[in-house]
Amino acid sequence: MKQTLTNQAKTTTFPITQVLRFSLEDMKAKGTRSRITALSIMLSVAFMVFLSTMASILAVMVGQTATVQTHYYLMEIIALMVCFVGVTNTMLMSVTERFKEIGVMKCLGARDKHVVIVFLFEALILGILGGIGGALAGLGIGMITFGLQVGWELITLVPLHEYARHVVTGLVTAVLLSEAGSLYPAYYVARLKPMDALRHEL
Amino acid sequence: MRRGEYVSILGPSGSGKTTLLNLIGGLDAPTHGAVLIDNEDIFGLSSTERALVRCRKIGYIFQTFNLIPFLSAIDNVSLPMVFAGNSRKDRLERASELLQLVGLEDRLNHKPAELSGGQQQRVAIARALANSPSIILADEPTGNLDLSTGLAIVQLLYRLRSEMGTTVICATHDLKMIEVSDRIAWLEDGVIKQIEDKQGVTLTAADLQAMNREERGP
Repeated sequence: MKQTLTNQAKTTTFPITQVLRFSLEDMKAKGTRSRITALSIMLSVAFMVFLSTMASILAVMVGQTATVQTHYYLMEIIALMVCFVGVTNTMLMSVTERFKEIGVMKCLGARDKHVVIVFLFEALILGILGGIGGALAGLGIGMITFGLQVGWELITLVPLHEYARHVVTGLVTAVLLSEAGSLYPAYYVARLKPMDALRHEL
Repeated sequence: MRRGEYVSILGPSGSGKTTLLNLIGGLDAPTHGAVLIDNEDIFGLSSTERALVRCRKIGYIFQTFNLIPFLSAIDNVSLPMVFAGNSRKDRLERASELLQLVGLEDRLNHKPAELSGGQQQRVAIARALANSPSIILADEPTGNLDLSTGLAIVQLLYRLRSEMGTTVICATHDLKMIEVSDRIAWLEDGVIKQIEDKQGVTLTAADLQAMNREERGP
């Protein structure tokens, strides 16, 4: 057997187009739950970007950057942790629903790696969607709040690249958050023996 | 087990038929002992190599079909070839050939939910054949099908086996499947009690019923 194996490819493959397809189909199947996960990422990132936008504007206003930031970042950390737990929970539920298909895929030659990649790719998509939405929402709300309260001209005093930095930070945080929350569920399900995965439904 | 043979595994439920198939297929690890395929212990391999064995050497057919619900028939049949690294063109070509072989040439783009049980099992058989495996493992392939559909599936399996020279190992309760076997293995409490040629077996429906009655006993 060794010979026939070395003549052909040494391992099984799962190209990125297929990964994309499986991730998207999985998200479609989950429907509302996917949207809620993206929404929770969006909310916590919006909160984070809102806080940093506020800090930037306040800094221009009174120059108390340091104290403002430490105070609010504590709240932000809690928001991110809540979101992390939410993502992990959704992902655990979603992989449990997928046990049978994962079992089938492994029977047909999928490696642990392939299964992990499908779920991490899904997390990437959710992170990007939630991140873009959250960052823009946070920025918008921050600007509008201050614009209404203390005047619009103050907002323009904050350099544009600082706003851009907040948005990028928000997006990166969202993706990291989503990936981190999905890591354990993805590995958990990928390491199942194919038969345990298949048996699950019966 | 000899190449090209059709072996049925029989025994009361709980006797270990499915477990035996899963061990042969490398789906479940044995607590002790070894499984040899082409003289190689598949549990001595790394998990990556074992994935390759599952992919190329073994085809699975399940009682519950286990098709991927969001893939069309042709994509389901293509999936093992995706893992094997075949090009898209080769995959689609071979998958439509196989679906034609199982008589589903007009159902290529149907999703499993749009197919009947018998049709789904045909797709599953085509999928099992995709990488021309040396062994096909079938776990009660007719268990979820009505009598005539089951018979068609049995005949299909038998025909494909003779055409492709693939070994078929089939766990079953089904008299139809036993009829076409070369050899029959009797399993009781996880031990193979005897293996005999089909000619030596005179099994009637009454015997099977008796066996089923025993199972349902107290």
